[in-house]
Amino acid sequence: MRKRVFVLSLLFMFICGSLMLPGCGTEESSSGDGGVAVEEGGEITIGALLPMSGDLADYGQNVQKGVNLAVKQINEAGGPLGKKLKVVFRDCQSEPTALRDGAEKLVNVDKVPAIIGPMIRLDVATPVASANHVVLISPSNTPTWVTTLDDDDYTFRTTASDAIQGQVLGQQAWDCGYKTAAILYINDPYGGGLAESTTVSFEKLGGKVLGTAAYDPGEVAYRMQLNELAKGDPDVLILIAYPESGVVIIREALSAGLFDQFMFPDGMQSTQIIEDVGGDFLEGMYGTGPGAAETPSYATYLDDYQAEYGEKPATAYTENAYDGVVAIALAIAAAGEEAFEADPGMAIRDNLRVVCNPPGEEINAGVEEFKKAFQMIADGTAINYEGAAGSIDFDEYGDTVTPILIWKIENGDIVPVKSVLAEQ
Amino acid sequence: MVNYLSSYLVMACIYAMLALSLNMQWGYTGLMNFGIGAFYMVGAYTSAILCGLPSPEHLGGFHLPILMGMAGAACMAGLIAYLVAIPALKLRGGPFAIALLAIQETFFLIIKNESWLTNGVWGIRDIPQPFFSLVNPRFYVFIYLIIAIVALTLTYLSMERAVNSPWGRVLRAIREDETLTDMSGKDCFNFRRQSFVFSSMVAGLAGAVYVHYTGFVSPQTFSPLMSTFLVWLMVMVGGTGNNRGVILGAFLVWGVWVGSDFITNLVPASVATQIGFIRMFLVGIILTVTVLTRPQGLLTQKLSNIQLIEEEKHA
Repeated sequence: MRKRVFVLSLLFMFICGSLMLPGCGTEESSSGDGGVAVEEGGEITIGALLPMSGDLADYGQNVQKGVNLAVKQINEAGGPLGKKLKVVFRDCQSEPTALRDGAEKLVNVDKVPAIIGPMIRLDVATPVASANHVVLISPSNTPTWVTTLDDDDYTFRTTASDAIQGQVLGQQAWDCGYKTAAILYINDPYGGGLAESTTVSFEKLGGKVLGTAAYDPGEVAYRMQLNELAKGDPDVLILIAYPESGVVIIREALSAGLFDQFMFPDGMQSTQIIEDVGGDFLEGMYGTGPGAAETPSYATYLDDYQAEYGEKPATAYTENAYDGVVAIALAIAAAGEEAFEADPGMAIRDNLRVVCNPPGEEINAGVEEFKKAFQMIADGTAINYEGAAGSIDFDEYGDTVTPILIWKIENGDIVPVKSVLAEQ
Repeated sequence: MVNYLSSYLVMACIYAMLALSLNMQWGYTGLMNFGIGAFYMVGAYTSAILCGLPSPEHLGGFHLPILMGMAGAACMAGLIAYLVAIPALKLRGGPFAIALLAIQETFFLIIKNESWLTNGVWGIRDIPQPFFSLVNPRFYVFIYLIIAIVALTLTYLSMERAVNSPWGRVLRAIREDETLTDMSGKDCFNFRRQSFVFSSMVAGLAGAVYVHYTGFVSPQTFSPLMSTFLVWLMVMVGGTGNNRGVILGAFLVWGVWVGSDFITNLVPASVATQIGFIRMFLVGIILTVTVLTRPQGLLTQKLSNIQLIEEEKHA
């Protein structure tokens, strides 16, 4: 009996200990219960909810680099209101239950006023964040329904809705001279949403989508879906996929002689497909992807990123996360003392459009520009942040319209053709 | 902090209900159910469809009271368990486990692909939450904590009542020696089915408690790792065949699972990106240490009345 009591009390201590950890980890940064993450010494803590493990771990870890770069540059520029910006990272494990838990941690334990993320499933984090007046800026949650979430205007995103990329993808297919198409998409919210908007756009122009099919990643063969889609002999296969399965699908379609023309969205914008399939087979195929307009802001971002990490961003959305952090920092600066009072989240929410939307002096990415921005905000001049991922002008729903890049496979490499701005 | 602690406790209560359900099957009846998540999922979706708001995208929008949704979830999970039991319970041990694993995968694919029914990968949103308008949404978690604790207590009491009844003793007899029980004139198949259906209903109820907490459900929530294997871990760590033990196991394992994230603040930034793997590592260590040092789990099985009497005699 005594032994059991001992084991039990040991256990109890362990549980208490593991739950107390957050207490000691953030004691300094959450001064009291005012709900404001401001330190005496002048630090402002914001949160980041990214998939550091699970299916999207690759994206999460690269996006983290984008976030860290932004924080570093903002701090080099003096920081909002002369305070240092700090980020707490929480892992959402690419999974809804853990995602909600991560959001709860950031909101209730770290008491941050704003969060970068989540990369997927904004609808899970939104109820937690908006109830507590915390701003969410997702770098990558593209589905169309994000627009209409019941979020009390606390949800923003720095990437374009799938509706926009679908529109451009359909338009490009039509411009390439294809009259009929088949669509094969990955069975997730991204694939489904994009397939739908592409179909609408392509058919509006007069094209005909002969068949659509969904696939689950990680299977050995996709012959069944491909045979089904090849009926009626469509001109092109629009393949909404990620490289791992995408490569398998292209190989099968080619070797069975079912398709020889393809079009790709951002998920396939990777040199891996050319290496694995062979550039000869894919020569001249077109695709679309987010942002990457040849703006000075993006060029600066790319240079700074390479200087910091010694490589190009390995996945998409790093610049979108970077813009999210910068937008928050500028909004805090614009909010002034309000950002430390009772409701910092609301102050940030209300100032995001002030610093990101026209009118105002255009501010690009980079330390020098941020210095200028903080100075101008202090002087009371209006500014308009032009981000690395696009111009970052939030509409009434918190959505942005980022440009869509059209790219082409040429001589075994992905070559940008042009950037288009679609109307929402 | 208190808010977060409450949200941790709500999820732990839901997992504890699942662990109790699995404990009845594995701990008391000896059914190696590797598909417990399927019934959790069925319960979650049933309640979501019954109580959800009308939507053109999927079946549902019946907007029934939440208690009806919970009852419906339990009934639907029970019904499906009854049907599954007909072929599956002919199997025992490993083959039964594999059959249930396959059944979970089948249900997962159905829910993922039949979007007229479940809205597919997009999931169902705006599921009503009980007493939501009573308080500031910021403090809603406290109200839900009460609901979750009530649900867990009711489950625990009914489980205890069930396993300590003559019915429960038959289950344990089946676990120990099925042939012998058969020879004592008990219809083993029937008893195993009753145990299977009853505990699946509890899993379905846990699913309903989950969806009314999050107000949202999508197939990703029910990956085998999160909905089945984590529950197994809780049962094994807590103490197979001890209801209080598995509740403890659920609180402990879920605490480590989500609590390991807090270590991020304490380790160097270069290691912080690997925190996901550290979590897996920690959970693995817990399992290994438990199996090596306390194979019966933290709290061992309570002795039956007969054994207790005998012990007293010897003492």
